[in-house]
Amino acid sequence: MSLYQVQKLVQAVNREAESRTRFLESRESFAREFELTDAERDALVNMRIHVLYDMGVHPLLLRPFTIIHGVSEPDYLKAIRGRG
Amino acid sequence: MPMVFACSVSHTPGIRAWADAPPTDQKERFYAGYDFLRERLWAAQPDTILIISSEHFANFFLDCMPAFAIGQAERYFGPIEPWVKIAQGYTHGDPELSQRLLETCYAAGLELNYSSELKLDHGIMIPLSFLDPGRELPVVPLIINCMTYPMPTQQRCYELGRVLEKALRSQERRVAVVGAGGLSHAPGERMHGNIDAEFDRTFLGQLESGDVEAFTAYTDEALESRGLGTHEIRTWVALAGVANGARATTIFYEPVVGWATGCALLRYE
Repeated sequence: MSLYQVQKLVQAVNREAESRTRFLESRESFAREFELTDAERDALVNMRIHVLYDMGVHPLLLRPFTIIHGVSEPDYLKAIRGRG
Repeated sequence: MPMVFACSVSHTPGIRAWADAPPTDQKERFYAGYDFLRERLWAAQPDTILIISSEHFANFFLDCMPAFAIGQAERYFGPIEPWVKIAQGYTHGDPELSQRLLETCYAAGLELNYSSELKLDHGIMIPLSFLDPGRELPVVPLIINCMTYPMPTQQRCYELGRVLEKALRSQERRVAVVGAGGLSHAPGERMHGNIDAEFDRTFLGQLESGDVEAFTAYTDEALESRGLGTHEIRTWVALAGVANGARATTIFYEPVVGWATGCALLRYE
């Protein structure tokens, strides 16, 4: 129950080059710096787009986060629409 | 001095980032509309552009989210998104005008946040890439939270515009004012791609007829149901406050599927 912390991680990865590098090098390690539940950590580390969307991560945070991970627009839409 | 030019424009990133996604003739019609606005803006011989745009987590986050924030820097970097396909660099600011606007707003009971480190994202750089591609004019950016709840009401955005209009009249700069955002779109949402052309045309009609009561009455629910990006019409409503009854003419409106946005350009005379 820490949507703010989930979004804080996403914002850091989206906007800070150093955070992005560290996250991409070791997602688990970077995620431990935030107060996350096991489910939230799993969704972030394993890029469970549908879960992140449903927990309420703002679309203007989530879509750039997935772009950084090379997710195409059709794949992103398929994922949030529950067909990914 | 009263503002010397005013227009409202769409700023969706695809306009530059995936410029060729729409049919060529549709893109050319839209670009021609922006070209017309650029000619009119320069004919008005402005000293500075005041540009009202929406927040996109570029400058602010949930640790601190101002309703309104004005830049007061000597220069601004942008766009922060390299993928927007606009050359990154600095644009001159106009801190004297920023200060003047702030003083007038505070005296009128409208306490804007202010920042000496605002960065410019696509919301400001896409309009500037058409209106001032050489980055010759100084800018004053003003950001409205059109993104996370609670957001300022349409009425409050209109009041902001009214105070800005008085502030501009009380100083000597020749200022062009631009409102940037919208119209209906749903970036990153399940309903991404949805464009409510009927809503967009109704809103434009309200601006053209000067129906303040109607265009300040939209609720958060009414806008969200057309896509979260539709909240950005707050920038248009604020600009209508600055324009203060000047005649509004729609230069372009089409639902542009390739950019997933109801795209519009509107000029005040």
